[in-house]
Amino acid sequence: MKKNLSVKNKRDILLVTLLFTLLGGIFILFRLFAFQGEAAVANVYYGNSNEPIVSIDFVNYRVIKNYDQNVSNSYDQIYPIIDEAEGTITLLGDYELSGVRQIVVIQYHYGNKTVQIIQEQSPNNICSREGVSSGWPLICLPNRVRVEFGTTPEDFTV
Amino acid sequence: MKKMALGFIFIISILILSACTKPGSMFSISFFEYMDTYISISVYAQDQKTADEYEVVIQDIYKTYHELSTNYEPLSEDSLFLENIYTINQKNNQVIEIDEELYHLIEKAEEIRVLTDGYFDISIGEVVNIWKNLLIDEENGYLFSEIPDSVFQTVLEQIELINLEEDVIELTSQNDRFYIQVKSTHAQLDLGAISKGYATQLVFEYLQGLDIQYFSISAGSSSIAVGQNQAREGGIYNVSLANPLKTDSTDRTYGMIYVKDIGVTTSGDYEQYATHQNLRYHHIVSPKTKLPMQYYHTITVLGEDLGMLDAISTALFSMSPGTLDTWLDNHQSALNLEIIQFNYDATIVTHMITTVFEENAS
Repeated sequence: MKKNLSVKNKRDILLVTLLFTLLGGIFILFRLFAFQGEAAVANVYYGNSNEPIVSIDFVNYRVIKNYDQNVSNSYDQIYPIIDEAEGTITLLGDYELSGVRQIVVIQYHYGNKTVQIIQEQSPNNICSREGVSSGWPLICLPNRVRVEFGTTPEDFTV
Repeated sequence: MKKMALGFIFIISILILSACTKPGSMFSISFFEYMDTYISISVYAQDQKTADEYEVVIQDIYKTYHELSTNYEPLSEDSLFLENIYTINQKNNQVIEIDEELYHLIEKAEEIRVLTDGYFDISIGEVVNIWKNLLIDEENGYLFSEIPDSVFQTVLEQIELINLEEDVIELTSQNDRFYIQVKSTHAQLDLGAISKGYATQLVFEYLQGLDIQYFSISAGSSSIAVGQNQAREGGIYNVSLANPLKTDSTDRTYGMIYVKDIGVTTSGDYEQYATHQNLRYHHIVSPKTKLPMQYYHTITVLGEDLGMLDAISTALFSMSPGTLDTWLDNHQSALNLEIIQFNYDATIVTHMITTVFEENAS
């Protein structure tokens, strides 16, 4: 009986060791291959389009609206709305409350080269809970708004 | 037992190795409060607390030179400084005591006036103000618009009446006290083309003095000072040059330079200008003609002293190509400057020493 327990203990220890090794390996891979360096641009996409509707240029400190959102006349605003004083971009998401599409508000910070979803309506508010991102993509569903980071060849323009 | 020990050694090794990969990291410091400029600094530090300590010193440098060099408002009542450019401009011909920091800044400006044969001159504020008002006055400015001929002629008449005197600034010091006298009844000082670069150079020296290798300072859209780039092999920063003729398009650069441990500044006619008869009238005014000149769209200068670069790029912008070539023959090697001209006819001329410039494929 004592011998059986000892073998079982050894197996447990081996299993725990393997588990730690596996976790350690995953940790190292994450450290090596996670997004490193500074993003030069963050592109905001709406729907299925692969053309960014807005680009946040962290190199030249400017926000470029590439095209307007296609929304019905019942909405009295043209989206996206870019507020440079507040550092925000507001789009209309696909999620509706009482038949009204809800806004998604993205806040950007040139100095930190970061983006955060600060307001959105959705069942679990997952994307506004993701916090500040400097590299990983922010994906808002069911609003179908996403932010992806990219790089450009230059670090500065003068 | 042996396997267990090996397993623990392996795990500990992993943790130690992963800790070694990143002893510190890059921190971002940015602010809008001074010199009407968005200043953004990326600096390597051990932790956020250390970066915060750097920020206190850096903000203090920009705040100091903002307060001392502004010609728009007097010092605040609780200011610790004696005078600033606004108050000095109210006291022509008087001998005024000033702070040592402002004394050395004006002293530097005067050195560059001599060095550039008077093409850089901080005492032409009266003329600069007229052109600036024509561009950016909230009610009567013509920024990015055509200046009506009648308005243009009125401006020329106003300028014609201004007599720019030479060598009007006298600086003296005695027993660690510093004085200035502007020997003119009407000359107005304007440090707009040197104070930001001068402050940035002090920040550059502060970071270098701390033996920080990895950092970059972006002082507005036209001036940067960089150490080395931690994110790129060789520590190189890629700096693209703004195309002054394509500011609204996505393809808004005309070339790239690859730099480290250096300052880069551009003087140009594309951020603030109005047009008259197909010529751009901008804010860089020649002390020789009292007019904004149209030899170049941009002049980019690379060198070791950003305080000097700002002023020199301003001076070179008003020199004809012939005068500029002669000046470079006499000074380029001694000052270790590199120049890239985007000429008014859109041709590009470079005067490089070691830095690589690559023009965009057209």
